[in-house]
Amino acid sequence: MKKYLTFAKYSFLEHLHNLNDNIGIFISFVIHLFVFNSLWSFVLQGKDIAGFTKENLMWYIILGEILTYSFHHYYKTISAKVKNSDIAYDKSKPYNFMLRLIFEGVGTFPKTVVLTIIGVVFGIITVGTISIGFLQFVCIFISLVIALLILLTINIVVGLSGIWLGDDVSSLWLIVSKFMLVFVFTPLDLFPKIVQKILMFFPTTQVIYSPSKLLVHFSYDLFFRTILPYQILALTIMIVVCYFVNMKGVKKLNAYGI
Amino acid sequence: MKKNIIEVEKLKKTFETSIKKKGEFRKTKFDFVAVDNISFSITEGEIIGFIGPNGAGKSTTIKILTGILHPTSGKASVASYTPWKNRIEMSYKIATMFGQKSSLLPHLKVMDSYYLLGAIYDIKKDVLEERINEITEFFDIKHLMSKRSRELSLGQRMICEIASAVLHRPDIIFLDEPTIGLDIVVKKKVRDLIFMLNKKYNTTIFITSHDISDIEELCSRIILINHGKIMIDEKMSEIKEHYLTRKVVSAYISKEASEDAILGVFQDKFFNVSFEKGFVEIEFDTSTKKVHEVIHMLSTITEIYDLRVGGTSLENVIYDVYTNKKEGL
Repeated sequence: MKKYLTFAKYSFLEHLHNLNDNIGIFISFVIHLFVFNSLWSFVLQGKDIAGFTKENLMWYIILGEILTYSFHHYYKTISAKVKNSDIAYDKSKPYNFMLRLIFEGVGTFPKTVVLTIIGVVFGIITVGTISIGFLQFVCIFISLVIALLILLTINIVVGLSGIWLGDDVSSLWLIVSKFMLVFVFTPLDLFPKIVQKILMFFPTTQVIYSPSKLLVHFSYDLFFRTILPYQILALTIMIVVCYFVNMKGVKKLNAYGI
Repeated sequence: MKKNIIEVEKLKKTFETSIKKKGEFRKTKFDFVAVDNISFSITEGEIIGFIGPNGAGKSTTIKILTGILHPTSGKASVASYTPWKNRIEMSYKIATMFGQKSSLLPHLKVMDSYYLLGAIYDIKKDVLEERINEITEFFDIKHLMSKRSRELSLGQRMICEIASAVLHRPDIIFLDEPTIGLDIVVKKKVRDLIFMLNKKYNTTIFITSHDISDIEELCSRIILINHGKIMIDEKMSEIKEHYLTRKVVSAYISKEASEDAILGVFQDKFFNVSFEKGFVEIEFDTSTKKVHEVIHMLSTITEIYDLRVGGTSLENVIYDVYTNKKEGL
């Protein structure tokens, strides 16, 4: 385990050094929040929608956006490894390659911390604070960690799919990100009941909707009976898919060049 | 007696690939043989040049030997492990260094990369620090430890890469193009270091390089592969004896010397002669005529003002094998 924590540590240090490379992301994040704040103010006019007040929706969007931007382009780092065959070099070292990718991804969290600070400040300025008890915070935090792990595995699967797709990885990410963005813009509760039931099985729903919904409409019943089981199911599926893609991918490594 | 550290027996790798023929809608699948039943063994402490033209099967072989690829058939043992079955255990015994790839973290100090490698290879902190001290002294890179990798020149980076490859004391190092892009001074230093590494730690070195001078200066043996098959597997001294037998005598001679007289003596199946007024070039095989005999024959026909004896380079021999002009033994 020590070596994987070391991967996370050095990935963290590298991202800390490169934090200023992410200024564009931070600006884009603020612009998104500003647009949604104006949009929901105009749409709601002091009313609520499907049980969501403007304050609820803004905190929902802030958390959703933090999650969306968290591993921003991590899939590109992985697909670049595939493209320039670094993946072959990485695989000649004594470690589990999948765990390395996961821990290196975890090491990118300085960006998530900065996004959280910006998001919380924006939320407090625009809609005020949100009250959460300690135990509620623990539950939301658990849901958030699972959501980030699901998002990380999605990035890994998309990145590794470069073995088959080549440069088309970006198109695949575009499709996946649309499935996430839709839940940032519109909580699942705004969809018809039958669609809600189907969408709950989508890993992308468990990344954005579940922790954000828990933040604004917390209940222990919602956490233990709905969100936690679905998130664990989504994470398990994604881990299996990750290992499957990795296993199949190794056999597909190209014949030429290292 | 030294034991074999790498053993390869009838190793074969085929890839399924497909091409779209003109006028056809669907792609036609076919098997491409990248490595075709190759067998060889390498004893510990050897420096082997594993060479071949692009697409010859070198990288595929290395990928199999480092546990990245599974072969279609055949056997291989690297440091007593089957690479594709015991990849993790074997990787503690080997190191890979590819000229165009970096194992150093670009934004962090070289020292940090060494600590990361220490963690990867489960080296205890005190042992790691001792080894870092030893290799930084050995490679004379103490002054580079606090620099970020991206700030290093290519030559400095290559030396730091080679140093990083020996942190875990591997029995075998796979080097792919270790001197690519380096100037002649740094190239020589890298070669010296590889040589010293082999002497100091008895490390087996497996080099692939398109720079034949790397191979000529470092390797005691060459395995030349082309179209997935081994064309030459010989000691460097034997290669020089077998292949580098062609000599060229270039002489400035009297302008009065007659072309007919010279061609009359030298133009037969053993010689290849080119004549210009006052200059002659005679190419021959030392297995049929000795150099002093040729010079003596020439001196009996004409006065010689200046003379140079040259040989065919290893590069020319390899070029001939690559282009199928010469069959491997």
